[in-house]
Amino acid sequence: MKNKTLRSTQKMLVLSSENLTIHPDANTAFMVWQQHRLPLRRPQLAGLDDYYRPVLRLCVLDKDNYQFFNNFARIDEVMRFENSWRQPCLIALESRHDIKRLAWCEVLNLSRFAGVNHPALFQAIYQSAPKQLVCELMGVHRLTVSNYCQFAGISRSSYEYQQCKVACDETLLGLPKNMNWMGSVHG
Amino acid sequence: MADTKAFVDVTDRRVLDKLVPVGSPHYVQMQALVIDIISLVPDNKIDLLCSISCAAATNFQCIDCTEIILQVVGKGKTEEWAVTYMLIAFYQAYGAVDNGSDAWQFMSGYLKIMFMIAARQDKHFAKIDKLGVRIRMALRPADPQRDILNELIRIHDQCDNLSSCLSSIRKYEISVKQEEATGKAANQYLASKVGQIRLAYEVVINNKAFIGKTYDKSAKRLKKAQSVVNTTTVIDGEPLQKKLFSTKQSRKSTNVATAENIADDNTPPLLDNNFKPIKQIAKSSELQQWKLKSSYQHASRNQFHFPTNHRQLSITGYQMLFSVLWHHFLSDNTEYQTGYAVLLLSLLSGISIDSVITDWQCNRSQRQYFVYDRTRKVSNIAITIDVTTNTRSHLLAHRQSYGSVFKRALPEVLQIMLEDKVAVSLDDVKLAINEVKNQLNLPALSAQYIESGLFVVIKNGLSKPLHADILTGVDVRHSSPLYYTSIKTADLEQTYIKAVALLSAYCDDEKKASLIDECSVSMNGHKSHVGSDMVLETSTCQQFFEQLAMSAESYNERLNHSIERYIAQFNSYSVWLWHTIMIQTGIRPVKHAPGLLNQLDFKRRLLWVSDKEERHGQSDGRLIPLSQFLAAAIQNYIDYIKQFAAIYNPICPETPYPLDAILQSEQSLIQIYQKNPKGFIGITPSRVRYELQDFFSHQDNWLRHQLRTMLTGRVPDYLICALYGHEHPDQEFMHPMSSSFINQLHQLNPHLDAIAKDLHLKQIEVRLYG
Repeated sequence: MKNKTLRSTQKMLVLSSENLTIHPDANTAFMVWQQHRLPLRRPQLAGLDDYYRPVLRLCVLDKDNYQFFNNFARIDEVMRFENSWRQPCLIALESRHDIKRLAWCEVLNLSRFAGVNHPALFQAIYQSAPKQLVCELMGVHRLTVSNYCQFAGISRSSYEYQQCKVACDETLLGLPKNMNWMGSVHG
Repeated sequence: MADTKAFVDVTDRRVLDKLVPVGSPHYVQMQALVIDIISLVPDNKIDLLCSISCAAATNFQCIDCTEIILQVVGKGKTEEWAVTYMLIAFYQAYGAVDNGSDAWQFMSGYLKIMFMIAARQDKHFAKIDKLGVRIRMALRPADPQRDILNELIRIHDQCDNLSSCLSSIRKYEISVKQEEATGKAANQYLASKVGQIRLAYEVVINNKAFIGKTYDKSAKRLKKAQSVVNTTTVIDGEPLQKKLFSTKQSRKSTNVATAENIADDNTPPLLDNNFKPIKQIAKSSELQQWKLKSSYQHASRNQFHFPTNHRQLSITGYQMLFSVLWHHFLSDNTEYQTGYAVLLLSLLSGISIDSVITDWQCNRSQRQYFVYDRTRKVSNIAITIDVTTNTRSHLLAHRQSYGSVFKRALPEVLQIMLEDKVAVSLDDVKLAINEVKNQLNLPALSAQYIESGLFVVIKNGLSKPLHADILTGVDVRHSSPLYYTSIKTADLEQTYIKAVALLSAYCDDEKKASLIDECSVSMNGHKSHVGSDMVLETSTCQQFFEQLAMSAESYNERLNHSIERYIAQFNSYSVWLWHTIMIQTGIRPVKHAPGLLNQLDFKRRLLWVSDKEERHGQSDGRLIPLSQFLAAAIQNYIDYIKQFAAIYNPICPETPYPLDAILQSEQSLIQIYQKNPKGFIGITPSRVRYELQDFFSHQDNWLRHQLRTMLTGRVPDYLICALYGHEHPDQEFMHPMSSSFINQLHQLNPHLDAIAKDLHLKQIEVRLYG
């Protein structure tokens, strides 16, 4: 059977939010990453020659649609600001385990940024990540707070300090479901 | 003896069956409950023979109230089962029947009234449903009728029998009516509702007979005239049916009153032409030319009142006319006095001479324009602006306008004349006109000149076209701004006084001073604003926008790893922007408003919209200036949707957000996510209504009313009309022959920004991360 997708190739592609989707195996990691990412601007690469842009790893979905699974920050930039430029891409072979690993790597990398909410990030990893895989990536046996702190390079006390600052999530989301707000002035 | 007992039993049973019909949910218990409650308070004045044993203690706990209500509403039997419905609702609010509770004691009396009405076996029976409705509605949260219920409970607590209750209710009704009439309290239509209850009590206690309502033809005709559907014209012996659809949108997708839409979209039918073209011509371009020509003639005859129009006098002409009329009126013998009085009334009120005469020939209580005020004992001019009524009970207390009637004072001499109804002959009026015609040497003077007097003075002398329309009682269908404006009564009063001063300039000083003095008495009590019923108080509007902004911002930092919250955030941001666009541009809330991205020009700060049905041969939309605030808000939104697409689209490729199509102006700028069928669609008023659901409900175009009202008085009226597209044919701001230039529109910008500031609008910061 002749299957082109089994060969890894290099291509120059124009990518935008219309032809790029997240690989299903990286979906959870992507959502966690989105939730905890920081609004940092990265160096602008717009002026670079096509061939010097960082290479993106993608999978082929069908003819013109591609799936990404790592390098989330760069992909985000591409979709928002560079959706008319060609990007050098490496169309990779599909290995679900490796895709998961790379995707969760992205999430773990977030812990290196100052300003990230460590308790929330740890919670999210603890709840949604495949434990064994994360442990393997972090090089620990069990996923615990102290192990995480060690991995992130912060002290346990600063982790707990952040934990205390977390505001409660009880306030209303969206519009109130009644008209009482209207009478509040007139009584 | 036993026979009469049995007979009484039978009648009681029959009445009970009427109140709580057999077959209604739990009717055995409900009937027992009714008897229970009625016998709660013994009343010897009303001889109610309650002989049915109520031994069966009502076991009410086992009944599911919500289920019964659902059943009643679901079967559409709210009328037949009104008593059941009311009692269940009351039970839900006040708990178990208790001898000591004021509420249940009131209900005992109230049910007694219902019982007696049912026993009468006449057409009064319809009142049972009405009485039930009053209680049910009062029990709804935040309904203004709550006050009635509380007052009724108080009255029943204080009075020891039903007849003394009646007199208390009467007093309550009068006080409410008074407050509503003078504008002391917002008119929430409570007086008429108390009136219904009072009438029911009267029927029972004073044994009133049933008098059916008779509808007069004029009200019916008015309704018919508003919804034009079919017109048949006979062309060359062949009937030709023309269908005129009132609006492009069906009733289902819009909740804007039909009359309002018609006034905006369709030119009023031409009244003065019987032109019947022959068959060959009927479909030709000649006919179209004729249409154009006749619409022009119509407009020039009825709307323009330019200073150069030769169907009116100059200002000086009117001043002289008025002084002569006034002089004659005061000095002449009584024969001609009525003639002069009619002319003067027409000049001061702007109402046509015919209407003045018809009105004068009516009884004081039946008059339409020269209304008699019972409490002050004076007659005054009352102009009713025929706006769409707002009946949303939750909004009643928050409306800015106190009704749509504007009253103004008349000189005392004329008031005395108006005391009684007088048979005025048109000949007297003609004689009076002839007299002044000769004296002033104005050979062409006719009734038409006099009728347009006040209008010309206010429009050309004081240059207040909107006030001219209101004060002279122009039909709203000929002047759409009237629909949208809620206006300060003080401003109108000022304009009237100025107009009187201008009119009486040629009278001698003493007369002039007394005229102005007598006309400047305020007649509107506490009513600070009159006009559009849709406009809310500024503070309520502020709160509304604050809530919308809070809702959009509430998702910041609270987005979790489900895409649902991202979508909710997106929707609430879109809803906020939609409302902001409405309040800053005043465009009609049509489907996909404000349209595509390429309709916006951020550099020149202009928006091109086409938000109404195109009239033949004319107009493809209009230009609207973008305020700084709005331009910034839209640009922030565009930044946001780019980010949103980068997050949403990779995750949900099956229902993509069409970012490219939006940026390339193929799909409308504001989209909204709907659940069934899943996906993004262009925003529509009904989607917005769905999003707001329990939070708020109002007529779709209420912000158009709000903006029009807030702009009135700040900016010249012609600019507002240009913004709203409320222009007379061939007088458009952007007409090829217009002397205005586009940049004049930008005069509106600082005012739009000021309105944004007045409403405490702020740029919201909606974040997708960080």
